[in-house]
Amino acid sequence: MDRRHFIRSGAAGTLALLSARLWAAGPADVKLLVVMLRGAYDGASLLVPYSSAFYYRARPVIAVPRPGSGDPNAAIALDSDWALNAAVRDSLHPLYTNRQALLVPFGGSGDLSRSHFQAQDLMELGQGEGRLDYSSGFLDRLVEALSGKGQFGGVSFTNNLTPVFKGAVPVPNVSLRGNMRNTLPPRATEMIASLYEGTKLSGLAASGMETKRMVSAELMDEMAQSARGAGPARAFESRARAIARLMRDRRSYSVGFADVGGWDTHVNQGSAQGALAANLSGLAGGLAAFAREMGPLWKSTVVVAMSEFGRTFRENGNRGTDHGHGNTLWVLGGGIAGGRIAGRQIAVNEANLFQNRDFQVLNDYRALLAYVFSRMYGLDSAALDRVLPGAKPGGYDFI
Amino acid sequence: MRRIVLMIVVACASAGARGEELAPADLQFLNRITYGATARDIADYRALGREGYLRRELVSHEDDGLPPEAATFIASLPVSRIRPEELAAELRSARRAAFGKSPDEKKEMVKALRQEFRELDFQAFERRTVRALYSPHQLQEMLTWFWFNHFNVFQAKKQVLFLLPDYEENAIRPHVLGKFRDLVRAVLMHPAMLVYLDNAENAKDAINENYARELMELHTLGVDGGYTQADVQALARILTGAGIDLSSRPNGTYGDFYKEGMFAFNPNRHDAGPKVFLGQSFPGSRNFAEIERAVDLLCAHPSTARFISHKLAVYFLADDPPQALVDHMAATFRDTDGDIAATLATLFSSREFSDPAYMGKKFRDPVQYVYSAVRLLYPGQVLRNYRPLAGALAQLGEPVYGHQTPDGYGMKERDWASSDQLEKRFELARGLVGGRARLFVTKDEIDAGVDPARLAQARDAHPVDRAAIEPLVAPLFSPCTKDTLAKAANAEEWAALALSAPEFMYR
Repeated sequence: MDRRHFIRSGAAGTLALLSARLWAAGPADVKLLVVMLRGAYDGASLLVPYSSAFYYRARPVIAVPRPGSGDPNAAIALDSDWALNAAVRDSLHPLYTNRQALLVPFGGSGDLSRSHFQAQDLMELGQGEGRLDYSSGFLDRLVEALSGKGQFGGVSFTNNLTPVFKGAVPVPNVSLRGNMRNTLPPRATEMIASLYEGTKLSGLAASGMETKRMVSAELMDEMAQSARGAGPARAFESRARAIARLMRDRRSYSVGFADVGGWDTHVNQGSAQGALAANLSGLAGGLAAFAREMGPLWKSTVVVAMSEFGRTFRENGNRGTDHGHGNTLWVLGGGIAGGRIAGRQIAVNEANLFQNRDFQVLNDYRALLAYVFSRMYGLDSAALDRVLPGAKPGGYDFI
Repeated sequence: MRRIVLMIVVACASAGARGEELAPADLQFLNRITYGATARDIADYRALGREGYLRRELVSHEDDGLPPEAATFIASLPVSRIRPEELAAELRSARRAAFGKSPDEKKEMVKALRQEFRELDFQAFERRTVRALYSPHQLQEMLTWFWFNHFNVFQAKKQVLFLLPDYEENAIRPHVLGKFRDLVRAVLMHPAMLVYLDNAENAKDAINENYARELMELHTLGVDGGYTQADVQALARILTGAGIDLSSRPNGTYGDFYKEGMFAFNPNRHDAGPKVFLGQSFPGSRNFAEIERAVDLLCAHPSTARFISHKLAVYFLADDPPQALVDHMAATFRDTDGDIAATLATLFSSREFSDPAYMGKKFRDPVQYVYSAVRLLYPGQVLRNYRPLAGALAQLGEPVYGHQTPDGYGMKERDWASSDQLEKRFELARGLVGGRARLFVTKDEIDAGVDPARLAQARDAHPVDRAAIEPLVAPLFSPCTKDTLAKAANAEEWAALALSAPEFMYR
């Protein structure tokens, strides 16, 4: 196979229609969730380039079996080149066949450090050109750009604020971990507020107490269920449902961020079964649950999942993979024109590897985000440039 | 509410500082190199003077400075006498016993063993915490946390579970004020790190880059330290054969095979071919010397001096420490063959370290917050139950031995100052005061269903002593904070608010 084609932008008319539908419900119903897969997940085990003979040569143990190979764990063909890991048979695959999921291989950032930590920060800051200015991340800049457009606000479903939400607009975080019961009586709340009055932490203190008071009742049951004996995969599903309930019911929670760890599979990663497959199943199952829980709002919701970089194309000496470069980005949404593989592609063969080890990055994640933001929110190019400096919307046609 | 705040602001303008026992600058100085200064630290500091105190604290100490009750507690922990070799032996005999058992029975055996190992890890946390709370040698305990975090391993990864207490106690702790190279070497030769970063699996023709990359990026040179992907691959080859041996084979050298503890260098797994690493030619050899040379090269590298100095300055001084000071520390580091105590002496005696502009500006991470709170409320009163502290750390996002990735926990304000974090600290502050009875009865008593009268007794035995606490925090409080605190109805409310104050979030 020598395939060298580009997937081009489609008919603009259809796009405008879909976009109008996203907006029809009103700006307050437009929801965005960005999910960071920390540790660099192995995209080639999710979206399997099964028409590549090189894939099977390069991964003698961990390759996912070809569709139609008779193997009960065979990958599920999406088209003549790509297939999905069977671990997401009941979660991501139905979304894909309903045109609510879209995958972008050869995606990622320009990072070449192959350092998880630097690459994650770079991705979350989203300033381009290797810039690591910790004063603002791209989601915070997005919320800032949207501030004049109705009730848009950010929320981070993380233990603490990560670089993506650093910036001029203070954003609350809800850790969804541990005890959700609120034990602060009103008198204590008032006295603490006055302790913080006029200090630089006053906004955080006030929003922390307010957020806890509001979400605790809503989430007590959910959290009580998840605390009992749930494995990591199930744990994300429960978290994802809670995230959906909060984003669905709270108007100001329109731009959300969550992260999921455990992807750094240097050893025994498995293929259609094993540690990585279990993680993929947990992630996809969680996002499918998120979609269900959003209810009618799912139509105007977009989820983007991404990882700081990809993994080596060849398996290493321990049936695992090491730090690589390009990876597969996910876009989900009830109103997108999904059900396909998008973005620039090239043949998956040895000659096309980046530095003779990794997938290339042909589809910059910032160009994908710029496209999504411009379609979802109708941001003009000046606003877009403040959110993602220097990035141009990629040639996509799914919103 | 708005009116109350306004009144406070007006009142603040007229409030002045009153005379305190120790000058605020000295208190701030101590707060940065302790888990919160207690009356005992202040007395030591007074008796020895700043230089004398630093001289004492910049060398390692045994546990003999601990109060007897604390020393007895540590001695009573099984983790204090069980050696990791015994646990490896237990693992081997469990394997033999599992032979022929059903899958369900095997599962039960694994579960029981992991439970036992987890319990030992918890005891390691208790040991660490008792020292952090009650040792007069606070710097040593802060550094034990710092270096463990620098060379982080994750409890739940494979055999790390049973290797971890020994890793903290024997690979990290003895070297926290010594030569950096000894620390790197001890870590490299500890099975916990070799398992955690997969080097136990790294072998000739089965290369695994994980440890090689992190050894440069996180442990020595830093991500901008000047290494390339080719250096990662070369170091991975150099590190082949450095692995673990959990068998009962005695320590010793067997030809090129070398065993020390559960570390083993296996020449048959080592890639003896020539390599080029950091511009140096490694002709290739079948013995451990090649790895030693790579470690020497990394530890003597100017990037390592800068990277380590910067990280120490971030931990003790400021999120963004002045470059000139870091350079000065790095020069000391190089001139002293990577002497950690000497590098710290340069930092602590610097002009910046005594500059008021840097005081009270380091945001406490959850460990510092929790330990400082307990030391302030119950100084020298040895806790009997450490589970609430572990729970608090998990709630605050810094679970004990629970950081999955090798970068360790962050040490900057941006890593911890969030709305959720502050709210949880406010709740915790109330819990540490109002629920203190549970700190002073054992977890076994609690699990057995403790008698309320017993709890009341424990509570009364450890009252909140406002008069003792106030001189340790009041000098740091703004007039506004003091005015709000003055409205507290009783000592308990006052203490919970003091621990919630913005000034107490910093050191």
